[in-house]
Amino acid sequence: MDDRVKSCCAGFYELPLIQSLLGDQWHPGGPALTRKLAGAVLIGRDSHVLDVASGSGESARVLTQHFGCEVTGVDYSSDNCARANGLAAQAGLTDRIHFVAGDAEDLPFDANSFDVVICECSLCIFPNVAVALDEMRRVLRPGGHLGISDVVVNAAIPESLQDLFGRVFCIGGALSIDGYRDALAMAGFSSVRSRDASTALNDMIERIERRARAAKEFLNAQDIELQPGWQLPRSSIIAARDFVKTGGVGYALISGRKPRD
Amino acid sequence: MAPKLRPYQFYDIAVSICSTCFRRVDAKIVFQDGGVWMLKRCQEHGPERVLLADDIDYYRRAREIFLKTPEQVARYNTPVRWGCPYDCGVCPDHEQHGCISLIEVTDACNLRCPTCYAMSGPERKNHRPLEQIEAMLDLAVRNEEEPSIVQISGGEPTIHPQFFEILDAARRRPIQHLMVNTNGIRIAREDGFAERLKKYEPGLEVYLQFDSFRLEALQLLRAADTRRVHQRALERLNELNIATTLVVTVRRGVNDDELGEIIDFARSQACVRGVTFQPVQAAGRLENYQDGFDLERDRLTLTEVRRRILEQSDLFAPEDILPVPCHADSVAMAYALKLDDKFVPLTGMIDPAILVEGGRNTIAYEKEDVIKDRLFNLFSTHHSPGSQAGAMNDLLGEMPGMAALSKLSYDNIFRILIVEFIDAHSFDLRSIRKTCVHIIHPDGKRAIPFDMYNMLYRDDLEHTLLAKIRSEREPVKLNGPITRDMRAHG
Repeated sequence: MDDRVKSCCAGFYELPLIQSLLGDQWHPGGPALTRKLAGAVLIGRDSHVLDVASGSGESARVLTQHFGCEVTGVDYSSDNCARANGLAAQAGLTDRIHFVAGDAEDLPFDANSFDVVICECSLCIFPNVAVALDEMRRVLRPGGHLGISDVVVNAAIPESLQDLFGRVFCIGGALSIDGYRDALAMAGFSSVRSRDASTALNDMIERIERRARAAKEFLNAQDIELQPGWQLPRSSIIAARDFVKTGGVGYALISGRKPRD
Repeated sequence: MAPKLRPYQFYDIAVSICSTCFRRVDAKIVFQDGGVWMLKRCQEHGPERVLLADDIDYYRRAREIFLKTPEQVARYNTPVRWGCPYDCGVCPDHEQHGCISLIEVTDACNLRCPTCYAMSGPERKNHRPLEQIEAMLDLAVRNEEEPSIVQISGGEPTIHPQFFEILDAARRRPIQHLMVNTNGIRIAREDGFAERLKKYEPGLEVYLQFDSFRLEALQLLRAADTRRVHQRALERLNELNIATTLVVTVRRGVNDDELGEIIDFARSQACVRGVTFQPVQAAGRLENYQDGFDLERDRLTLTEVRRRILEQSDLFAPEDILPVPCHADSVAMAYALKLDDKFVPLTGMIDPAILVEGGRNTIAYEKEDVIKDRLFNLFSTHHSPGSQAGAMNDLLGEMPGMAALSKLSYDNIFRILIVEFIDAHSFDLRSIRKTCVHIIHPDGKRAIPFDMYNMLYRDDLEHTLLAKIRSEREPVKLNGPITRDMRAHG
């Protein structure tokens, strides 16, 4: 993978101001949407799940605790994996979840190893989506389910908002709903289904807006300096919200199955 | 110091019964390892831990979201005296009328299935006399006024010597829809039998036993190779286009891997309007279980059946198979349109946010009154097939682009039903109060929730097990009305 990924997510999300703006939710919808995705791909007590781009491991913990499944997480950053393994140990879940460093485009697992593969808010930032989907299909057992949650772009993003969507929401190479469906079908998945989850994105922006407003009053600052040299005007947060509301950008769950034969 | 935490999420308390002595016991319902569990303890027989569901979100949605004001029977037949579930009949404490009224016309059967909850078989010769059956039909009519569905069952009802007179007797009453619950042997073997059945259409449906394509499974469940019977019976039913539902008794490790295949097969049969899956209830005869009936190994819950359907068939998405509001704990349903080669799950065509989302999104039901009403209308089992078609037409009329399909008939509707009967293991008083399959007692005086009938009221059980429990209980002293509604009981 190239460095675009890192600049987009890893380093940026470690900024304290970003953490306080986003709170505990690293992807739209948070644990509630993770559970919904899990329901769509039939995660159950007997499932062995692979979480691609597992980050701090929050989804893996949610899945294990709520569905009783076993989860393996894979993340490009070995620091992320170390932290996720530490948090799993703290929660007493090391017998059910573990994390390994690896590349989504070259997954370090045998073919047919997992019942379910999920990938939240990450597919669109992989440099080669087709290769990543091929890998996910390879490691799934026949009949196994793939569950993707990701940003959906339906209209050209106004230039004034490109920075915000690009950096905070990591839209990278986000596709339209049909774009994702086609990508899964091209990669050999069957029963491809999509479910709109744009309210999750809307809720996230609303929360950022509320927090930004509080920060402004508290710090008496007009705009928020997210990182040196990048001001985030509140007006652009509101413009972003409106763009989401009018359907320009959304969020979706996309699922498919590896054919059984 | 780390706080000392429970290994589970506590959800609710419940009233259950001990699966050994059937006395009431306290229980709690907890979430652990992705499952919903009932934990209970009998003073005498010790603790029990029972899996109620393997899908916490579905279980909660069924309980918390799919709530519908219960409909009552027109008449209560028994007073509240010994406490629930020892007063069945229906008593004024029951919360749901009978969506289906069952009438067992005989104990005799031409099979002797190792899984029979009714303990029927060729050795039992007891065909009920016609006048007794008429009294039972009368009770169904008194309780339901115009019963939506009366199911003629047994034993094997078609071997009753006056079978067609029974159907005539039912036809003379204001019963909207008749179902004949049969193993299909007589339909398959007797020329002209299906033709005689056909004369009772419209408003007649064959509820045809169909468990498996495999000999080993049929031997375990039926102690007979019924494959040829299935084939021949369906040939005849197809030829005459007699509305048929395939009924699959599902047993873990025996035929629970065939559900997708059965749905595909059902789709291809012109006369088949749907498939009903019923996990084996731990009641009646439970032969052919290795080392006896083992709770963890042999029980199968509604959500496990649902999960298997979704795993084994690509026709339905999870949001297509939903709880039925009249008894959401025990009944799940999916509707689809069957048009030539096309097969369209109906529930998937409605905004998933309205249908599926639990918790806060329930508000969407209120926002979408039209859809909501149509939906709940559609999703209640007390619909006769004719009105199902009507409800679907109504619904489709609301959908953009669906106008072309608005002239549908019953032949185009395909229904998946999962019906989990409650047994002494999974007994939850809250849920048992809403059971809507009522069996008419042979005394013609009572209608008893089917699940309870098999546990405490069938044959001798009432005079042995139930009588013993009642003898230990104090009868209610002040039996006044709790609500205005109950005054009706007088």
